[in-house]
Amino acid sequence: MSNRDVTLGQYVPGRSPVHRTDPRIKLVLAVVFSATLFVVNGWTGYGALAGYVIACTALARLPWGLVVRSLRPILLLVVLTIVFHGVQTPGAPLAVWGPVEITGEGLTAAVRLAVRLVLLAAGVSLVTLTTSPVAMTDGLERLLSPGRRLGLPAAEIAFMVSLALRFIPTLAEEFDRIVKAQKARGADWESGGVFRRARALVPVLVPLFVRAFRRADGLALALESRCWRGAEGRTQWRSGRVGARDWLVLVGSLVLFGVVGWRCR
Amino acid sequence: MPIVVKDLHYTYNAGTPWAVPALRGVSLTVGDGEFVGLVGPIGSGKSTLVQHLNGLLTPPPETVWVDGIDVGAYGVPRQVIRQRVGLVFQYPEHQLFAETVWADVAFGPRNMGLPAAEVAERVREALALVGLDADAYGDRSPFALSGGEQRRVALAGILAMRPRYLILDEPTAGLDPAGRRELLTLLLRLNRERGVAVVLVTHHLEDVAELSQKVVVMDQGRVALQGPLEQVLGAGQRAALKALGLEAPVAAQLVDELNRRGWRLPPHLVRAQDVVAAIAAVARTRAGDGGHVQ
Repeated sequence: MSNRDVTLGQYVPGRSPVHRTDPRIKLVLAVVFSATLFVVNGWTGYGALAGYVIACTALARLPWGLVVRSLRPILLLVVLTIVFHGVQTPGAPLAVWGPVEITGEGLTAAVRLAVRLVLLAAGVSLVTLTTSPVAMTDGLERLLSPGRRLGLPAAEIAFMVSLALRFIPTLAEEFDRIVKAQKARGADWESGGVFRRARALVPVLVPLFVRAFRRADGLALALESRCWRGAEGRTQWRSGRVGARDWLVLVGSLVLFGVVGWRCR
Repeated sequence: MPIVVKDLHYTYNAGTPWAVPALRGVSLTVGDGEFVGLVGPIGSGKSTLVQHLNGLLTPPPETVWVDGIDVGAYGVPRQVIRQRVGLVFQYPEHQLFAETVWADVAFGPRNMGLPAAEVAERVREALALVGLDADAYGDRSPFALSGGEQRRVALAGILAMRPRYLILDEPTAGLDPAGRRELLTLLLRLNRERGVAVVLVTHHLEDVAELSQKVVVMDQGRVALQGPLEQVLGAGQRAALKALGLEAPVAAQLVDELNRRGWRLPPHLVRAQDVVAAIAAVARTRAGDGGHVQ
């Protein structure tokens, strides 16, 4: 345990309407939301979608600090996007600084993309923050199950995803432990150039991979010793049904996304 | 100069729904060259505490001092603290990474910026301390060694930094009885011959009884008991220990049992060899009286 920064993909237990919405609905809405985000091109549209995310977050009673923190990992991406767009888009120069010129068009494009990225991350983390990993796997499996007729191993895919999700915190903890162990031996990540810093990661990554492979081996053994033969023929304890309220959420949100996508292109 | 901890508090994930208070006002001292046993149930804050002692977790200013240096003070170089206070994590072999044993053990000294000759000398010395021959093992891959050997290489990696304080978190976990014996003997030697202060974090009160001069018992983020070995593990505290889910050492339990049957052994004895000596002495006097041992 430690003050890790992996809020992305973490689940905050709760009983809010957002938590109780069927995971399939949330997954579908997340996909449509992301698509809408990239169709929309204008501040009214962004405003509407931002309003949607904020309303949902408030409804889910998630701590705001946590939501903001879950956006931190993409901060670097946003900054890079702004810099590259601001510098590289041709147009009327606003400021010239040596060979670098910042254009008005560039800045607008940059801010637009930044808003899109932030909304995308916020929307997606809203789903992961309010859906337990088990519910998420169930939802994914059911969503993919029509593909089974085409030979898509829906249950296996869902199972792999759930395993992967389950190991994120484990690996994060392991990473943390190894970093500390190497720090205790005087490892230093705070100084030196990019190359030096990248090399300094070797003492962390090698043990991390060694452990991950061992763990995977152990997991495979544990699965086999409990007679796991793939997901074929498995039944479910929770046979969640999409209720009237879920349909209402789905249709209502889809209409909203549709209107926003249509009107604010 | 000792390690001094004064009223240290720490909460994991402070400010989030997962906030867990781990330390709630811990105060203790690890004297120069002392051998301290740190015990307590799982989750009592032992690991969190030891990570503050070498600055892996930054303590607030004016709470932790190592040799008079305020670990939490702004601008104190972490490297200096970490060189003085060697921390051996649980299953330290999980941190091995280099292609050869030599390179792995040299990692710490190299990070300290020592000249190559000095690094080589320290690697050789550290490997010898843990009972591995540098010439035979130096070029081998640490991943090809047995579990016990890996543990010793990892320990050598810390010893090569020549810490004045050595903190070990459950160092014998997963070792066979012989490996365990060897490791504990090594700790005792480091302590007695080189004056390295040792903090042994463990659940085995037997080990603590045999090695430590001082015992600190933690519970729920606080120091529950603290003092000289025989005071903390001696007869007076058995009930308190039991309440924390800790069993007194077998030798001490034997003393209790014999005294209940009418023997008059000193009730504070906890070390196996002391108890054996006391029993032998009683037996001898009884034999001298012409009586028989019950």
